Amino acid sequence: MEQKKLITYTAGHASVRKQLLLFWTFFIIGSFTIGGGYAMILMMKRYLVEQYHWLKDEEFYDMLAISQVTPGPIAVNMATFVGYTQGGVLGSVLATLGVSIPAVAVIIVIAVFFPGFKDNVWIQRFFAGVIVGVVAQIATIVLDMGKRQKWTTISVIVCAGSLGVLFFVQQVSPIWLILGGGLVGLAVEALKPKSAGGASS
Amino acid sequence: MSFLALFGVFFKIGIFTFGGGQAMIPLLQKDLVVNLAWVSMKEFLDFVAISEITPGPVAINMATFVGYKLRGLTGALVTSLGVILPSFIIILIVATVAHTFRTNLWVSAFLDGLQPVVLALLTYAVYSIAMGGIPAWWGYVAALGILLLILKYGKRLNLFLVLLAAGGLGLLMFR
Repeated sequence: MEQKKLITYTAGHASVRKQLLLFWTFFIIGSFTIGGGYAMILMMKRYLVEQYHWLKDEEFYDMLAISQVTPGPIAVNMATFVGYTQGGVLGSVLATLGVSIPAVAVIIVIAVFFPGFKDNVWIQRFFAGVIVGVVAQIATIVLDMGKRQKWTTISVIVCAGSLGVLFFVQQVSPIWLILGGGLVGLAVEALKPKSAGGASS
Repeated sequence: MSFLALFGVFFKIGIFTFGGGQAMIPLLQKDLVVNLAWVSMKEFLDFVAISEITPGPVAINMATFVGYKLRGLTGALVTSLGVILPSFIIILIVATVAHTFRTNLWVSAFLDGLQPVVLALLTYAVYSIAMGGIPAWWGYVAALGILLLILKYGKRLNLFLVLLAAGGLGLLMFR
């Protein structure tokens, strides 16, 4: 019988030092990731799972999934979530501010001092190079997720089907795909033959 | 426009966009350029371009830009807060209620079901970001090389330095 994983998400209590570390970690993540929320995932995993052990691998990917079914930027969702589990409400405020402040600050600096920023050819070339690195980092996360995914006939179909929709029916909002996947998961559970009792605990 | 109206527009967009900040761009365009006519299409496209090459979530970059343009520094803070707050509040509610994600059989089944979709979304992101942003064939080769480096050296590789080096490569090679 498959043993159910026991993971609980409760408000964390943290020392002042840890609260500051939460802020600082997300500040670094927010400062050094260019190219949108997806680009941040690998760096977040490095810090949150591998360096500080705040989250287990599986918890990280659960939060990532939840961050996609809830509205708003993925990085903000992740920050709030991790901040709350590690440092309670204060932790969530600090982590959210940490990931947001660099984004706000850099735009204000550009708007005030560098109106021609976008048209600078060196900036454009630098960014085109950075994107190469970003693509490699997201690909790393894809491989990591693919490795730990429990591949069943159904999960292969869901994954391939979603890819098909994304490539060929571009106007579909990702939320419908995500909810669809979740419903398939529920259906699989509902149709599972219920053998010996106690499966839910 | 009042600070309240500014806040309202971004708060609404913060509530209604799922699947990450990039999904906000079409909604923002409809509200800011078409419905309210607060910014011109050209300005809007400039904002998007800059938001994509600056650090941080694109949605926050956009909010700060529009807020600053319309009402200065205070405006920038109001719009940024507006776009962040819905995420913050909703996740806080989810996190408070969900003491036991993986202990509830149905929530667990739901999460297991959506993991392959998230995987598909990320795979598609690799494709679309590469297509939209890598200007030459050797860029793809370089991306593959960096991927192999990350896989080989794992934790010992500083990801920020990897991005910087990739940017440096871009300075030298893309023309």
